[in-house]
Amino acid sequence: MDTETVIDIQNLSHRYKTHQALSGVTFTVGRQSIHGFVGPNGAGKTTTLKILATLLKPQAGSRAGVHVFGQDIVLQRNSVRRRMGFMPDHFSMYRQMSVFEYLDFFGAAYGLGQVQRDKIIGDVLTLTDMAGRRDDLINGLSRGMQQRVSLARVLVHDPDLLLLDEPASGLDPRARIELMEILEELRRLGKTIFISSHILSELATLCDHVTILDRGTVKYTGTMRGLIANSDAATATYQLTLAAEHQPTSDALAQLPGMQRITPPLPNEPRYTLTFDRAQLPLNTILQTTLAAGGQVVSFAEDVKHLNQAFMDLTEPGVGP
Amino acid sequence: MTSPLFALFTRSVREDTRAKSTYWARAGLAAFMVVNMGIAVLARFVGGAPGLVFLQNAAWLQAVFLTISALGYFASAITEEKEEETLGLLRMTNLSPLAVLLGKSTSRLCGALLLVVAQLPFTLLAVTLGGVSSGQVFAAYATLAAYAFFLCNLAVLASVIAPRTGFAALGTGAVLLASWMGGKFWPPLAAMSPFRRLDEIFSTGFLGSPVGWQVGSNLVVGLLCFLAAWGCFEHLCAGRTESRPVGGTFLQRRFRGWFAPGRPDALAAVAWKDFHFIHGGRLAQIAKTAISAVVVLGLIAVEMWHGRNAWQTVPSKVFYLSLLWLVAEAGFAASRIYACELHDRTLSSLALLPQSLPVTLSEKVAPCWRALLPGRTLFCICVLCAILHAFGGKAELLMLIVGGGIGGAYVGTMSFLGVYLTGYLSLRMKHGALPLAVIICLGVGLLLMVPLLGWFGVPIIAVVVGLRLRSKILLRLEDLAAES
Repeated sequence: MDTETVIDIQNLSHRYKTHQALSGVTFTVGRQSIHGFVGPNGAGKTTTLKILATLLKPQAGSRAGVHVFGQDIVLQRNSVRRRMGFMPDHFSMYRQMSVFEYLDFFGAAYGLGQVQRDKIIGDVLTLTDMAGRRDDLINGLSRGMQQRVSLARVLVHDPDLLLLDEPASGLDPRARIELMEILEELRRLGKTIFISSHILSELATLCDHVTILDRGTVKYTGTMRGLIANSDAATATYQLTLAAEHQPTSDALAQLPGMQRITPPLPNEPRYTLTFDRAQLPLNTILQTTLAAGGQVVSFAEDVKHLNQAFMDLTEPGVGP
Repeated sequence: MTSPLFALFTRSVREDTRAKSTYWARAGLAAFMVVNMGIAVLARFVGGAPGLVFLQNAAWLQAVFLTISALGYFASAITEEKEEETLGLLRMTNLSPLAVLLGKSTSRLCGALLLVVAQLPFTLLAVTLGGVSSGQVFAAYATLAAYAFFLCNLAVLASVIAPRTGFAALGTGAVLLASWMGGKFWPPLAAMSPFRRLDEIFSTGFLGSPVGWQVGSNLVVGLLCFLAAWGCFEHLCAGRTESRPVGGTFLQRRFRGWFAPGRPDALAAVAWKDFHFIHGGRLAQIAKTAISAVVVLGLIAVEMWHGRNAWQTVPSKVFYLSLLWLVAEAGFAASRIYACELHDRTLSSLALLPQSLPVTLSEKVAPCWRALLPGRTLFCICVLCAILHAFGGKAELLMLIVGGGIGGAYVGTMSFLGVYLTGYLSLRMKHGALPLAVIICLGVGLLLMVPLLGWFGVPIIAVVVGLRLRSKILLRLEDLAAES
């Protein structure tokens, strides 16, 4: 197994009494990445997360295997648990404890000594911006703050892998943005983050990799860029917006080598969609040609799909059987 | 269905119809009726009145069944809405406090009464079997119906006042116990007891009215309880939108600074958490020690007041009291240690600790023993006193050791079964695990009446079933952790 692979799921299937939750799920998660895990309700995301978190045992099947840091999650369960932190999609807290007592308890339960606990708890409280609420009872904290404490709890034994199930659900926009900033910071600190969420816009900016699951099967797994790029291996599409519609620019661009199609702008929106043969891509030439022809460039960017669109394209409508 | 009152009533009836426990209760009562018929037939051969035996057994069982219902089923009427955080939603509808109370309590009362009344045709058989009149049958059922009304409304009042079902059940049980104890000092209170009334009804030559003082007083007190619940509903339940955390005592939260739990040890973090946040911590230890000291000193004072030798009489009384206390406290602890984790949805966090679930389970059981320290100390002092007292004669000492050993083996094994049964039931039922476990253990204890098989079989059955339940608890905890 590749040392850069943190999670390796091969041919995973899981069946509840009358419902096939997962069928041959296969994907990997690389080290120090933020890997989004997306799918409609009932797609099997939480089942996958629970199996990864060692709460559910993978059902026996041919060639099936789940490894975290190269370790089998069934055979080396305790070792996997030490290197992983799981944050469920609900508040799972001892609300009669203070923030410090709660983190201290989990630190001790993971076998950390008092001195080590003091240092780590201080660090995670600073990271989650909860240092000022250290002695407050959890019961009195707002939902956003409880979510921060939950995240602090996941970090208290300094795991290398974080499994987060809907960490932003129920949070207000500010709290969501702050949570995403914390996750970015955690990636910079070397953590691998596997995050399940329904808030696609935030996943699109946060994640570098994504897996889309629908009705228990993987519909896409790979880079986020590969998912949202509105082009294929052979072609590349760009959006060029000018200050005003400019026919000479349009004519000059049409003469460029590799140009396959140029979509004319709408009446009130001088934006051109340019499709090129990827092999002959004249990236710098596009802007040079536009400026030489007298066009006033407002913006120039690769044409990408919104993650919502990619999600809708890959998943089927309605709920599974 | 136009009336909101009926909507709530229908919902409650529908929920009860879907609950497996409803059918288990019916099956249990039906099984008892079959056994009871067998006992009545046997009574015919030993010269007793089979009809009277049959009716007596049925009525007593139903009275016990209703008492248990009050502690679990009736007491959760309003608290279950508080715990599920749905009381606010109910209050936002057109439902008035009266409609909520009636809707929640009437369905439960009807359910319990239906179970009781369904047995009326069978118990009329008692008249055919002989030894009992139809007047006695109707008087017994009037007693039970009035008792059910009283219990239901008392429990509903407790449910309105208490923040959680556990406290509501505790409050209901405490009031019942106080009323039974108070009956010794105030006769009208004793006459309210259905058990005393049943004794009167089943006495030979009973010709009294089917509706006596007990029926009237139970109905009146029940109505007063309902009116009190209605009166304080708005004050106590308005604005309650979320459930309170489970574990820890009110005093512990109030005097948090004085009784800080300290730091957990890395080798026993779960035990630290349970001791301080479920069993009440040091404050509860101090309170229990103080209560036991007050009880012992009170008993000594009473004995000395009556001119008796307290050294001789008090240890035996305290012995039984502390034994009862230990068993009750162990059962109460067993009913809470898993239920608290379920309520707070923290089982998954515990299950993810880097240790096996049996180790976590052992860590959860250890603080129960620590919490029992005041009761255990008192018990040990009494045993020591009894041994010292018995040193006067070798025969007395031998009797004490043999009797204490056999009794201890029975109490120990039954407690072992009771603790694991309570723990297991608390993972299966939302409410009433402890009373049900007590009833099952008492039922198993009845096997003692079977010569030889019971004497040797009961401890063995208790230990084997207890161990089996322990492994069942582990499996259930794993399932629940994955489900949460």
